[in-house]
Amino acid sequence: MVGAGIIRAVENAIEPFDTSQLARIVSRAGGAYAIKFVKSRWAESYLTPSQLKISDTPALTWGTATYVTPLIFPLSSALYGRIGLVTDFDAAGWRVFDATVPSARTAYIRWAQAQPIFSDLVLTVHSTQTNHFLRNKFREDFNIDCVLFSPDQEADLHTDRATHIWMAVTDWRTPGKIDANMSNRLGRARFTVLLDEEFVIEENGLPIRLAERQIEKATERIMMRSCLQITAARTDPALPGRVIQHYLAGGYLHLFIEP
Amino acid sequence: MSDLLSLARDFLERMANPVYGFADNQEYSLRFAQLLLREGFEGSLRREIETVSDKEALTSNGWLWIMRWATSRKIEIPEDILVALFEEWSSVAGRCAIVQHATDLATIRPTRELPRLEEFPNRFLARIMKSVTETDREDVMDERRSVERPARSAESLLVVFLQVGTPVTLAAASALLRHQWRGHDALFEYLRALASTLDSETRSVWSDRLRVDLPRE
Repeated sequence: MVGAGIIRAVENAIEPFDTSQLARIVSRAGGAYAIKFVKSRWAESYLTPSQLKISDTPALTWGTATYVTPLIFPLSSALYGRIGLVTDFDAAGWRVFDATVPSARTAYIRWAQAQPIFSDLVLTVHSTQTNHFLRNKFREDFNIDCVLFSPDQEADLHTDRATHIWMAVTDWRTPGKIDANMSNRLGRARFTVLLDEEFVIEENGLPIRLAERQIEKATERIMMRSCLQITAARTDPALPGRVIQHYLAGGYLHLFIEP
Repeated sequence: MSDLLSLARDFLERMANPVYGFADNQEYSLRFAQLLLREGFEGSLRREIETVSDKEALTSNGWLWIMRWATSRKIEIPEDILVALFEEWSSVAGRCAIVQHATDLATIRPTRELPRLEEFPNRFLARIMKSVTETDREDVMDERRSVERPARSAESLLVVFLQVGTPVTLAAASALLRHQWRGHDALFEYLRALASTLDSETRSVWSDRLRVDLPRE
């Protein structure tokens, strides 16, 4: 229900994978791999290759999709968990909408403004649901397999909004209908990265723009540091003494899981 | 209220309500996906959805999620529940989700003459159109109110039909616009106002699809 000019503008912003920025990123990374950080409790579920869950909650940047980071930016989305799930993917034939380009964002806004629901978006309290609806409809109407976008949130020292690019990948349940279950396109995800850091990503339910490092910001200020493998530490009768020693010296002891 | 849905009510709310934040929504969503993989769970959920009779069984966010999930699984939510939710919700996006679910498999035969509201071939769409255009429940003593209130409800319904934008909902939009009732003129005026915010090419598309005259420039 939009005019030809708007359709042309959007189509101009959609590229086949081969000529898209995604292809260049994949080439620089040495292959089509993506990473998603999740909470530690999911580590065991991904000991063997498994499908990533498609995110379908309303407050997402580009609607119902699987949100991942190309592996060229391996720690960019570390703020979402300590466990990095890595999967390969096959992007051949994908239609890629590159929202990191200003003209593409403008095309989306023109399209959104021409939607009958647009006044609901700007004049009512229902904007979260309305945005979610519009983003899904946009990707369905134009058969967009992947949206590239700049991160909305940064993890201190891990994410660079100016240069990093994230992906929202669409799985189709039928042509033109977005799936919301488990991703087939990102379907061989395995627990591959363990990160010693935590970030607080929300404050009273609102996303934080720059999430501070919770652990390293403290440890880097402590002079006396040492580490001990956790399996040895558990049975080490000298462990209490070592902890006391670090306490008295103002240091810290890092108990780590040996790779 | 059904047992499984009443147990799932709070869980679905945590999963689908953005008030709980992205991290909470994601966590519950992953846990629910695991539940769905358990033998028998999906079948039980399907049976409960197909026979649910109380719209209070879930919160509005829970219903929105279930609606999308049920559509993807070709599970039909009872029509009375859909009508009750449609009449209750004010969010156009939420109402669009209801219409999308209710008309997911609906088709309409292309004809020279568009169907009229009284004989509209899709029962759900006919019900919600009649519900809006029937004025007998209005306060007939207050002439202005008796026109404005149903016209406003019809405006919202028109936007839903246009936004879903499938052949069957556009036929419904056209039927609603042509239906002779006390809110007819006000509804047309609203459509013209809405169309005036559009670029001329998009306005032309609306004119053609709805088979109504809208100013081209």
